[in-house]
Amino acid sequence: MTAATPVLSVEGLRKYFPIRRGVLRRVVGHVKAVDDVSFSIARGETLSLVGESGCGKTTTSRCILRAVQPSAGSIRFLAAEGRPVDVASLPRAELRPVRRQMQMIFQDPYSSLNPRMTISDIIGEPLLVNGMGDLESRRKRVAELLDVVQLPRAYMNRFPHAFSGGQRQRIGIARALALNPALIVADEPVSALDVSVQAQIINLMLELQQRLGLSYLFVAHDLSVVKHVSHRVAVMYVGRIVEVADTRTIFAKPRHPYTEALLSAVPVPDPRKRASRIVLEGEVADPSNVPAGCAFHPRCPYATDRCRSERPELRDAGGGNLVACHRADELALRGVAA
Amino acid sequence: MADPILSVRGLETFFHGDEGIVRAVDGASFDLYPGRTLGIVGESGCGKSVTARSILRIVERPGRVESGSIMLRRADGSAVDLAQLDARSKDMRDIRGGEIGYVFQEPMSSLSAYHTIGNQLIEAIRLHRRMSKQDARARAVELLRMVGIPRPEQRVDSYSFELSGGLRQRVMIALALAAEPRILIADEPTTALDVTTQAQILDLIRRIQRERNLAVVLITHDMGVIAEMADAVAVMYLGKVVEAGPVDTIFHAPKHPYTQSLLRSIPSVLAEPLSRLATITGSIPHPFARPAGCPFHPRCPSFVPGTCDVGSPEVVRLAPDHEARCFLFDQPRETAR
Repeated sequence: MTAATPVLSVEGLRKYFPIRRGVLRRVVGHVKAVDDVSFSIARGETLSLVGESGCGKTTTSRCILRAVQPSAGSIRFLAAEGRPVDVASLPRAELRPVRRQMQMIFQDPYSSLNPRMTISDIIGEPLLVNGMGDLESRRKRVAELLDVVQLPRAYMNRFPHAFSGGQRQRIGIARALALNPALIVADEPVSALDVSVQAQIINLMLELQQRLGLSYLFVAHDLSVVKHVSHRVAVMYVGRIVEVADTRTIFAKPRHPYTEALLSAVPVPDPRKRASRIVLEGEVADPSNVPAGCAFHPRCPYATDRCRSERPELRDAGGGNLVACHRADELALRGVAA
Repeated sequence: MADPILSVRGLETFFHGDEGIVRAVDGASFDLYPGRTLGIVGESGCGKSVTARSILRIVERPGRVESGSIMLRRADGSAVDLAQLDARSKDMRDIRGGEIGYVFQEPMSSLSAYHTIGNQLIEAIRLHRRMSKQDARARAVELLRMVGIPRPEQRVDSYSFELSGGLRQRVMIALALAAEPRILIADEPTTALDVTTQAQILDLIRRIQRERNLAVVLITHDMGVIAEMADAVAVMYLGKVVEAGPVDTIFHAPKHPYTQSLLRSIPSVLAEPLSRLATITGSIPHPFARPAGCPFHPRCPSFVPGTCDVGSPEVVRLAPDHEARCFLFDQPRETAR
C-alpha cells in the first residue's frame, strides 16, 4: 500500500491570514488557519482530512494546489517525470505543468460546472488550456472519460442543467481525470448529494483509484463517508493535526480525546446502538486567539494543568501513527465498535 | 397509547406551474403522539419539507393543499382540521407558533439580521401571550437559558450574525418554543452543523421533549439521526409515504424495497474501510417526469413488469403499527391472478 516515495509530502505548512484594523490597515493579529501541518500521501493512497468547520482542512487542501499562497512550509509533489518539486515555492510560471498532475473535485456539482458550456467542452477544457491534441483527439478523449465515469457518450453535447447532482459530480470527476493526474484533491465531494447517489460516487472513486493508481486527499466532515474511502485519516483541530492513523485503528482505538469526541458524535444508523454520546461543551477555539497549551484543553474532559500550559507535539503512537496529546498513553479512549 | 395529537390523512399538496403540476405530497398519512418523535426521512424531492409546511399552512404559491385532512387536537380538547382553515385566518395564526413550533433548516436565513435575537423572541412571545415588554424580555432570557445559550442576559441583545451556527440553531429552537407549543416540527435542524454541534442540538431537542412532553416531527435525510431520535418513522419517496413503522422495525425488518435499498446504501462508521457500498441504480426523477405506477419502479430491484409500472400500489398494513405501499404485499391481487 505505501510506496517508497510519497506522491505528496507536506512539511511544516502554515497559512496565516492577517487581521487588519484601523485607517492604516495595520496588522493587529493573525488567523492561524493552518499552523504547522505535516503529512504525506503515497501512490494509490487516500488520506482524509477531517475536523469541524474552521479547523483548516479546506485551507490546507487549497495550499497544496497553490490556490492560496502558503505562509511557510514545503509541499513536495512527485510529478510523473520523477522529479519532486516544492509547490509552495515554485514560481507562478512553472506551476502549470505541476497542476496538470494535481486536480480537484469540488463540493457543489451545481456551481462548479459552467452552465453555458456543453459537457464535452467542460471535460475537454483542461486539454484545451494545456494545448493538448486537436479538436478530434480531444473529443475522443472526452468520450473515453465519459466511459470511465459511466455516463453515456451521447450526453456529450448536452448542457449541465440536464443532469442530476450525481451525474454532474461524475462530469466533475471526468474533468479532473482528463489530464491523467497523480493526485486528486476532493473537498467534500459527496456531501451535497442524496444518500442513494452518494454511494454511487463513493464506489466510482474507489474503483478509479484501483484502476488508475490515483492518490486522493479527501477533505470531509462526514466520518461515515471517510470510513469507506480512506487508507489513513488525519484529524485537524484549530489549524493543527492532532492525530493521524490508519483508518481501522483511528475508528476502533482513537488516541486523542478530540477524535474520541468526534467519533462518539456520529449518529449510528441503528436504533439498537443508541450509545451514550460524549457531548463536547462549548465551541471550536478561535484560530486568531488560540488557547495556550493544547488548543483543545477548554473542551477536553481529560485536561490537566500540563495541558493548559504546554502544547503537545505530534509524536509516535506506534505503527506509524501519530498523536498530539500529553495523556495519550494513559487514557483508554472509546472508538466505534464494529 | 394516548390519542394522537395530530393526525394527517391522505394529504395532497400540489404545485401548479406553467410546465405542469408537481405532486409534491401525494397522499401522506401519519399520526403524531405527545412525548414521541416521528421521523420523516427521504431524499431530495420526496416531499418531506412540503409535508411539514402543509401542516403549518405555509406552502408558498403556486403550491396548494389540495385534499386530505390534518386533524389537530387542541389544548382545550377540541379538534380542528388545519387543511380546512384559511391559511391567513386568526385560528391558523394562533396555531402557528402557538400550538405548533417550527424550526427551519437554515438558521442564517430564517433569523432577521436587522433585529436583535431578544427583540425577535419578544415579538414571538407577545404575539401569543398578553405580556408587558419587560416580562417578555425576562421570558426571552429564560428561553435562551433553557436552550443552553451561555450568558443569556448579554446574548439577548446580540444579532444573529454575531452567533455561531450552533448558537443560531439554539435561538431558532427558543423561538419555536416561545409560545410553549405542544408540537415541534424540526426541518433538517442539524444539516448545516458539524457532528459535534449536531450532537448538542439533538440532545437539546431530546431534553426539551422530555421536560414538556412535546410531540416532535423530525424531518431529515440522515438515517443516523433518525436511528438516534425517532420512535416512529415514515419513509417518503416522491411524495408518498412508502413505508411507516416503529424505528426498530424500519431499521431491522424493513419491507419496502426502497427502505431496504436506502439502508444498504448509507455509509456507516461501522463499515469495513475501502468497502464498496450497495447502490440504488439511477437517480431521483425530475419532478415533471415522475414515472407512472409505483414511483420507485424504475429503480426497484423487485420490479414486476406489468404491475408496478401500471397501477399505483395501495397502503398495505403488515402489522398493527407497520405499513408499506408496495405490490409485493398486495396479497388479494396476487392470489386473484
